[in-house]
Amino acid sequence: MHIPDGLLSTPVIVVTYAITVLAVAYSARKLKEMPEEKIPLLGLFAAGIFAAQMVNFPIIGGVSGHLLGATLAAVLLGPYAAVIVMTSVLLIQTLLFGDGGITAIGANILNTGLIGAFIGYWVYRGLKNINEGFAMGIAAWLSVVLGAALASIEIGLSHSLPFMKVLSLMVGYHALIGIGEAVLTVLIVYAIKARLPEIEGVPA
Amino acid sequence: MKAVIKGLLIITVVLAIVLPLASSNPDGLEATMEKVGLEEKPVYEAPLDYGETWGQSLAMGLLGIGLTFGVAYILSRALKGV
Repeated sequence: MHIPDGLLSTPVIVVTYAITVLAVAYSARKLKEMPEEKIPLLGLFAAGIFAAQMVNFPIIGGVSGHLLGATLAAVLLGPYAAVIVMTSVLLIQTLLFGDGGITAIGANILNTGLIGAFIGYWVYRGLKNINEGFAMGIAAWLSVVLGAALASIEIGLSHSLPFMKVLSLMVGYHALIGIGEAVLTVLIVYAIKARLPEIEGVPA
Repeated sequence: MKAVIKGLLIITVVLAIVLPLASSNPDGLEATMEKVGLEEKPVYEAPLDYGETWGQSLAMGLLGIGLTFGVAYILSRALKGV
């Protein structure tokens, strides 16, 4: 779900960059509360999410998707660390590997990073008392679907095109991709918790 | 730090195993763009790609894993002020 160059209009580029810069700056300040010994974990999570995003899994109709990982990182390290992790991944992917456009970095960090880190985390925290695995799964799924809906809105505001068609295609595909996100998030979180039981970040 | 090195090794091994299973189908956004006739207009040429063969992809994966680890770690340390 990396938006390439040429899809976003100047006002959308400006607004998405502004939101992302503010959110990353705020998260960067909040990172000071992170215990020093947990800092290497941010590097580890960024590396893992970069690797995971190289591996697309197929859904129906000859379409594929991959893990975003923002909710996963937020569940284990807190939302602010997750923002720094996702920003690092997006910068390397865009500047060095050509995933998504440089004019769309703001939008891509917003759609695939900030949504999962903040909204995914809030949903997880809100539902955690019902069942932890269920809460993670729903949060992860929702982060993908909301990210896709937001990407559709950004593209829709930039172009005159059949907006409802873009929105329904994007949300439809990502409702399926989100199931992969949910399954992988739950499996990976429990696998990491089993090995690093002391892991926890900066709760919001 | 020991857990981190172990983690990086696990990431590399898992990537090596699942790379051949990766789908090269268009992703959700690319498929949507095709259906509504949207096209990208590149304004920037990235210096690297993900390679074609398993070996190339694994090599680029290792490079990317190292780079993202380095960037996230150095950035976090700088922000934390240590």
